[in-house]
Amino acid sequence: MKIKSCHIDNFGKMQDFDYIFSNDNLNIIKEDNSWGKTTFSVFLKSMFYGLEYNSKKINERKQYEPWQGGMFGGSLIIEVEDREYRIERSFGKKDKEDTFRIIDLYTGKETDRYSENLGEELFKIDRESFEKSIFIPQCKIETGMTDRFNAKIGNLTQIKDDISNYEIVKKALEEKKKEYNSRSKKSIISQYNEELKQLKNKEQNRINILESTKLIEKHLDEKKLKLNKLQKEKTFLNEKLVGQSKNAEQVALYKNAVENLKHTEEKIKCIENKYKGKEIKEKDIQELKEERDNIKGLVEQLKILEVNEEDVNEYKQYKAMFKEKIPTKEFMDKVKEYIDKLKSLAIHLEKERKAESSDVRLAELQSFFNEKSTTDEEILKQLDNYQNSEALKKDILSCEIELNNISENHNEKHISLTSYITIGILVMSLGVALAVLLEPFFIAIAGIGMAIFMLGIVKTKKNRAVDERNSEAKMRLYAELELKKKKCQEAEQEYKDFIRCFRVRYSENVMEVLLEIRDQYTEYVRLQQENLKTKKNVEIYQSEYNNIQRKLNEMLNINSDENAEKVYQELLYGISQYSYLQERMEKYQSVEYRLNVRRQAYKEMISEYGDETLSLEGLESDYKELLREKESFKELQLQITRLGEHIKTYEGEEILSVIDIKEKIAECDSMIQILSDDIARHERDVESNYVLLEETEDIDNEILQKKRQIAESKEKYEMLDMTLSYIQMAKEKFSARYLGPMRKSFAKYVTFVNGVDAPAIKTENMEIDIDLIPTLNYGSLGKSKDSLSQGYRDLVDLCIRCALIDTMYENERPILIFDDPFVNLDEAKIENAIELLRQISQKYQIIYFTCHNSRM
Amino acid sequence: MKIIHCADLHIDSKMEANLTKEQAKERKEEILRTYERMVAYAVKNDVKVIILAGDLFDKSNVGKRVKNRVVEQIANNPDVDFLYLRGNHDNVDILEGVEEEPDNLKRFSNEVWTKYEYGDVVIAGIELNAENNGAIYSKLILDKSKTNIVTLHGQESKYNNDKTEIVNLTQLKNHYIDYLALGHIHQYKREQLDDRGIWCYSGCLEGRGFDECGDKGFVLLEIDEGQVKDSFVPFATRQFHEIDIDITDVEGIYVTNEIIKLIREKAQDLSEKDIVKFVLVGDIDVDTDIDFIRLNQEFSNDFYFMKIYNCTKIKVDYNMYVNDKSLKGEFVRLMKDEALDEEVKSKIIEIGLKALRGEEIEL
Repeated sequence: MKIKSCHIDNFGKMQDFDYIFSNDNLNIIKEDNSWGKTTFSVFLKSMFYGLEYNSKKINERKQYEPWQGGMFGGSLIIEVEDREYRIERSFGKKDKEDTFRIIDLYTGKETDRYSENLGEELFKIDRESFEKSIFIPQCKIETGMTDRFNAKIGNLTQIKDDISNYEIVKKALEEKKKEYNSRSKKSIISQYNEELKQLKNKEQNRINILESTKLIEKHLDEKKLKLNKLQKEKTFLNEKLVGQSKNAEQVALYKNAVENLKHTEEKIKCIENKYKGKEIKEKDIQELKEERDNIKGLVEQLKILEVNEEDVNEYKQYKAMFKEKIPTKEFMDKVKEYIDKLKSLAIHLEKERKAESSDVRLAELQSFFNEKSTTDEEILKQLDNYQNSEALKKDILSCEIELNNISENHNEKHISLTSYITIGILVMSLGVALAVLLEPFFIAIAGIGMAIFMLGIVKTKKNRAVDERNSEAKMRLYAELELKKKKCQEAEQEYKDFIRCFRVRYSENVMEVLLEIRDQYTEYVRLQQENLKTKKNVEIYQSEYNNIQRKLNEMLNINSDENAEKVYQELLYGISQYSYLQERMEKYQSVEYRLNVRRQAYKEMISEYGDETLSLEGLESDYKELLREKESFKELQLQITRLGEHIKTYEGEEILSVIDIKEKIAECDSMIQILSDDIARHERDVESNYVLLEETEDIDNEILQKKRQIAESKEKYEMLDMTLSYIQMAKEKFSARYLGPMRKSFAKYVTFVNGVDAPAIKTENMEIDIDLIPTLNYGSLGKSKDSLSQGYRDLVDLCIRCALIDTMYENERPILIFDDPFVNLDEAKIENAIELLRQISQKYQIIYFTCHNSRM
Repeated sequence: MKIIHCADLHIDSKMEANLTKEQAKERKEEILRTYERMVAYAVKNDVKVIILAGDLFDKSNVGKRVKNRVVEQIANNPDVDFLYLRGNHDNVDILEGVEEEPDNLKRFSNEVWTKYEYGDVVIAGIELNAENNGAIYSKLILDKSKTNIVTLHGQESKYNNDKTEIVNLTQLKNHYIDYLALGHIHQYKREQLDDRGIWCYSGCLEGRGFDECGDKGFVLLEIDEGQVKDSFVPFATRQFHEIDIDITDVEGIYVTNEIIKLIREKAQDLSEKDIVKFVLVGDIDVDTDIDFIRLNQEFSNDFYFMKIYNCTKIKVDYNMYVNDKSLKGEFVRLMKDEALDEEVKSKIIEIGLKALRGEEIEL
């Protein structure tokens, strides 16, 4: 493969740059360091491999994005197998945006012989290896620009690193293996095994604790059982102790009860003997108490009913008063009724009389109507007169107005007719005069005057007929007017005469005066009627009053001047007092009798128990005591029976002494204390064991986890081991593939460096080892390239690189870029180097950058 | 009438989620507290019966303190009946050391069906074991006219099986069951039993490990005129979550940062009280470098407990190394032809390449 030319549209700082590779072998570019060798080299690489897009690394395409903008990319014309192709590439921000075209320049059409993966298709080598192999840099001792260049493009050492790093890799893997290797005590697996061992110990300990806990729990149960038994025994002993003292107590109680029983019996007998041997009965005591209470009550009554001398005298007085007969209630009620009636009539009479005597108004009215007695009809008639006279006055007035009107009309008409005639004559006269004096046509005016005169004549005739009719009407109206005036005067005279008969106040309003007279009259008539009625009532009441008073006097046997009501009240009090005293005296006698009877009965009842003077309180007190004693007797009997029976139950039984029992209880207490302490201790042990068990409850999981960790570590160890083995195998394979051909090529290139005629170092003594380290062989002693001079060493490195490239590129050969690599060589060596370059350029197309003519 | 159906409380059991000792202790206490909260809920909501459908405890050696607290809740709430059916984990005597058995603690036997009646509601149950399993179904006689609730503890199955703790659903059909209250499976599950009734696992009250993720709680039954209305009531203090984070498409130099973003996205609905496990899955490049220390630090304070697992697979593109004329290329090409498990191969390549690049070998 040869590169013919290239065109850079835009790439980094390069813009619209063309370069024709004039030589298929060696192209020397003499430019300064800042010219853009790196950019140019990266451009060439990018034409074959594209620009790498690796999101995980710093982006190459970002770095070479055109500074000035524009299309990012360019083209390259290459020749492969005597056929030329133009490679066109443009780059976007991502590889997906890139474009690629390869045109067969023979056909001028795109070819599918190569794809965008052109580099690998041509060289059978990947981008990375290509990068590392095609660029031959300045020597390592150089700095600055070159180092940066190396970093971008790659260098021989990087290829060599793969091989030379092998030892480091091997060491690293072996170190890592050691970390896990179980044979070392510090290894992870050993530590895990140790931890597992400890965990298993813990597990065993846990099992032991569990078993121990179960055992303790078993003991605990047994001890609890024992404790329970002991507690029961202690309870039994306590009961027995109590029983023992109880028995002694009961015997004493029995004896005491028997003694008390005798004493009680004696007491009962003593009380019974006190009352003639008669049994005291509660019923008798109750009856006696009732009798005593009755007597007390009767005595109290007697005290209340007791009468004094004054009462007796009064009684006697009343008795004498009512000797014949005590007035009955009916009689007294009748008297009372008459008295009430008299009172009522007196009130009526007084009221009527008062009404009769105090009627001033009637007297006034009587005086008012004294001069003229009248009637309601008469008053009404005067009212009519008044109204008629008023109506007639109105008629008279209207007749007079009508008459006036007729007269006025006649006068007016007469005046107007006269005017017509007068004006007609005047106008005629004027017309004639003017016609005569001035012009004949003024006779027309005389004509008009004639017409007016004639109109006056006609109208006068008509008016004369109307006047005749009016005159008749006037006559008739005069007659009517006179009649009405007469009637009016008569009516007026009559009511005025009537009003003059009464003393009424003056008023213009006649109607009002007449109506007042009528009101007075109506009231007068009403009062007259009422006065008559009152007089009649007074007569009736007086008559009835006299009649009742007479009857009352007869009933009470009193004179008319005596006060009947007072007599009635005295009589009423006498009856009441007499009855009261009589009833009280009768009641006294009755109570006195009943008291005597009760006293006799009480005496008889109490005498059954002894003397009449025997105290009931004493009897009752003795009765209560007797009851108490008898109750006590019964209880004592029961107690004696019960105690007797109980005493019988332990008669013959072995009774432990209280001291023995107490000793046994103390023994129990001591054992209970020991057991309780044991139980508490065991429970504490169990509790603490449970705490321990809880702490280690996850132990099986932890063991499982640890085992898993060990297995994983072993697996990792295995992995490391396998990895190391495979890398070793790869290294051997790699060496076997490249080392032989490399040595051959190396020998060839070294010959050019040494010079064929007079080699400084014999070529057969030069070797490269598997790690691509050149050595000089002096017999059996190897010697490294470090013993060579710097210039010679650079040349040897160049040979190694070329040998490597020879080996790596099996198909198409790449273009090699030399970055002024001979800067350190002396003149003699430069010649050799240039010779080497020429030899290499036979095989490879070379771009040789240098900045000095001396190295051209 | 209201009934709570709960099961698999596993009080005082050990935690399975790699929690710290303090957290594990706290979680144990939380499970007990959740049980107490549930009883308080029952009292507040006039629940008449709490069915404890097995595995109230987890082991035989339950501490006295814990047992006392469980029984104390029963004794202190006499208006609520606790119907306790023992499960395969209930090897502890709940009343050991208790002086007086509370009247409201009702129990079941493994010999006969025990029934408790509340008006028209009948709750029947039997404790399954190797002897009675298989013979219990024909002995279950229920009144058609009643509301029948049956409780059992075991693994549901539609077929006959000799295993202990199998609840044969086929044989429980047409027994007039309205609600089959089951225990044993720790996840809420509800399906139709037959035309009349349903079967339901309430699940556990609190999750104890990443195999018990999601909502946990109990089932509340409301029975009115023969109609049974059931509803799941989430009640756990914390939830367990296991979340896969697929990082196959994650690329760039800031891989860890991208993973953090993905986790944040997936974790946005999670509560800070929860217990979370993020599992990184997917195929990643051999040279993808994930900073697990940073990842753990990033989320460790966001949750009660959090851990990140790497379950990704290394993806090797062998074509990339075909023309690699270096030891690295030689190594990968060699591995390609080796008859090893792909995962092992990927791992060896990953280690080898890291070593060849001079990077630290992390396993």
